[in-house]
Amino acid sequence: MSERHHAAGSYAKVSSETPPAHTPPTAAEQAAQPPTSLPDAKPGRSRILAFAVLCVLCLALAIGSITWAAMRERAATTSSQPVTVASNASAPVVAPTDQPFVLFQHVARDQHYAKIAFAPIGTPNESRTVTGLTCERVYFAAGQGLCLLTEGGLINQYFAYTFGPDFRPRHKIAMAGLPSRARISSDGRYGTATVFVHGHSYADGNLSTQTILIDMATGATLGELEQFTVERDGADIKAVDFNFWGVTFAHDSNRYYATLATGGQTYLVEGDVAARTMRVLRENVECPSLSPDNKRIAFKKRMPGRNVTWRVHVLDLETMQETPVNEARSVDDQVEWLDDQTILYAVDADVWSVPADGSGAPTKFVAQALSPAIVR
Amino acid sequence: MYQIENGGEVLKWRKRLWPSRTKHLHVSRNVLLLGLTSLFTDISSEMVSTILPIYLVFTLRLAPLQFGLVDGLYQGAAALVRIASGLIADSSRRHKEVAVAGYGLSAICKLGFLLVGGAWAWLAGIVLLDRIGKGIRTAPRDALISLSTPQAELATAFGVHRALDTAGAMLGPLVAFGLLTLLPGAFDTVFIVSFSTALIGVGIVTLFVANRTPTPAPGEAERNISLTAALKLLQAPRFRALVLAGTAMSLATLSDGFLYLGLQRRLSFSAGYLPLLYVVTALIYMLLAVPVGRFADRVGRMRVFIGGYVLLLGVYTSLLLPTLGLFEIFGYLLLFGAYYAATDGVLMALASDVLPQHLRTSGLALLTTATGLARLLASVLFGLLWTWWSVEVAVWSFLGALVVALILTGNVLQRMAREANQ
Repeated sequence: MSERHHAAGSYAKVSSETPPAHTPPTAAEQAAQPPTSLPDAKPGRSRILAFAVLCVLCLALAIGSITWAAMRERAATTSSQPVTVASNASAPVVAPTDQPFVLFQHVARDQHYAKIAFAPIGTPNESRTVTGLTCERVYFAAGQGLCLLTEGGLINQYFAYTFGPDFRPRHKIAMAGLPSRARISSDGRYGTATVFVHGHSYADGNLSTQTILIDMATGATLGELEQFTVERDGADIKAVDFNFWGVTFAHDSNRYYATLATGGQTYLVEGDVAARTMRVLRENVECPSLSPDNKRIAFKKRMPGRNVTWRVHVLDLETMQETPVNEARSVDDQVEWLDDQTILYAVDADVWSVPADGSGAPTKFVAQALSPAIVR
Repeated sequence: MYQIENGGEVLKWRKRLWPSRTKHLHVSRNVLLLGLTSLFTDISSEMVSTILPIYLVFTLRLAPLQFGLVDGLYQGAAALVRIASGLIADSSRRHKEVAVAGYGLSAICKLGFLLVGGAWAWLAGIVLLDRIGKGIRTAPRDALISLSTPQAELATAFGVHRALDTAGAMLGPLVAFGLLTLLPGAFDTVFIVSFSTALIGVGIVTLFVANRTPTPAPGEAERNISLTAALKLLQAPRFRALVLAGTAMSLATLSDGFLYLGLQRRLSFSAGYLPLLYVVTALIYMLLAVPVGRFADRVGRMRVFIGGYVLLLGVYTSLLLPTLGLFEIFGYLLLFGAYYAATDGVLMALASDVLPQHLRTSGLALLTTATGLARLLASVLFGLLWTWWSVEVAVWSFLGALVVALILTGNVLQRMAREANQ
């Protein structure tokens, strides 16, 4: 280091308040030091020891928490009740046409984890057939299937696939984020997918949803709900923070219901696919699901309180009266109707059923399953 | 002097890029230790900020929207804290202890995430505390770096610190993704590992970093350290010129998020690749921070600083050119990383050079607060321009503003040079 670099007093001296190192330099030593060298005190042995202890403790904490999480994962795998998987490796798996069935994501911790499986509605827990398709959300109606999934490790890519009764992908649609909801109209004409988008809004660090409509026959995207016009109390409304999710189709496949969120509030909207419009009906309704008779909507209702909880309610569209179902747990799912009297939903990696009129009690419908779809 | 010639593998390649007159890279032990502290702290904090969006989506669903709204308020609060911590560090002359308080607070917050669970108001509070911790530590740490370094090597020292800091910022997401791939859904493990890593950073700064007491200038018997005194720094022509130049440039600076989003729209690649752009830029910044810092010390920091913003002008053209391929994108990211290396640490070195030692922390805090708020305002403006008109209109406006800022800065510098000659 050359001398010219060092104007006197250009940098500070070590503070006398600094906790001294093991051998503090004497005043004479300090005075003797040339102004060109910075007296970097060598750390004392006790400090190095303290740091070593800290590193060992931190490493132990990190390894301990990783081990604990791994053991927790293994415990979840072994303690869960076994589910019977029908094995018929030779024949290609196709969706049954002779009997109604429930399609779902199989989440038992076995070699089929996250694959799509189906079982007869009458005996859903006896035996399930696993397909070769992996999805995080799935739906199926009138021979058309819709599958949402995340691909990749460090860089995640998100896709929606359409598939047929043979469970082979037909069309691939790139999605902007984490899979959330999938539905298909009962005639198999339209599909809809909701994903969570990061950085969708122009403000950094913001999160929002994206809901698209899909022409199931061609796999073409018909548009995003955010492009449709929304009417409230007779006037068009629009805001940058509009987010839509959880679409459900009526029998004519043109009319639909969905959730609109804006300004920290959620609303139930009724829409028209062809006219590309929506109308606000009611507040605090999330993930609506129309009953098979199209007369009621089951939905999750956000409860007041510090923690985020939802209770499933059923709204009668004629009287606009809502009834809570007899389920005390928080449900974060788009309800599926088993029939006009019973609803299905996922809680903690199992699909449960409960009467839609507020009576009865929840019973486990399919164990270790998510994203149920009833196909009749 | 502490030589990291043999120890710092990161820096070995530098000789090939910038053959230097001085054979050895000298960095004070304090600077290296503060760099290591930042490395561990950044691994820890980037682990959490990488998984926080996913965590929020899985535990809170709707709340992130509200979270985004208060994000701006947080940044304002952190700016105020920064000035307060600067004044406390200067008046107590305990830069190290103030920095330790900031590092410690952020470390504790990592445990806080674990304890509050899904209650969104509490989570938002923890995020706020975490940012306050960052606001507390930044200015005293930069002051310590400058007080531990000879004037002629300030940009090199800041370059070494920023290189280590950026290395941590790149490792953090990798660790987080690795853990979540191994143990799906184990967010609590990520928080605990993040906490352990932060503790090691706190350990380094507490146990090994030496405090530096400013040497009082001759005849400066009574030092007056107050907000008024700090604001009076702005009356000194050289510091005022720096604050004005830095603020003007920041007002015309496009944030990373917008640049990457703009590139993504141009090329319509999957949004999943956005983190890759960030990683490439950070890698280039990390590699160039030290050589560009040394270069700045040799040829003049102001020249390199202005040169950095000229590179940024080049980056803007990426959003305006008719065609854009993957090869070009890499070129633009190279420019963008070089822009960071030429401006971030170099501005701190420029400011450290003109600020008196007894008010250095407060002065650095003032400068970073001004540039930080200007960047925030620039982001809001860019978002509005993009929403109301188009991305092209927004980029053209920022390009024009940056040219004006560069001309203004050039004029101020010329005038200062003339005044100095008279």
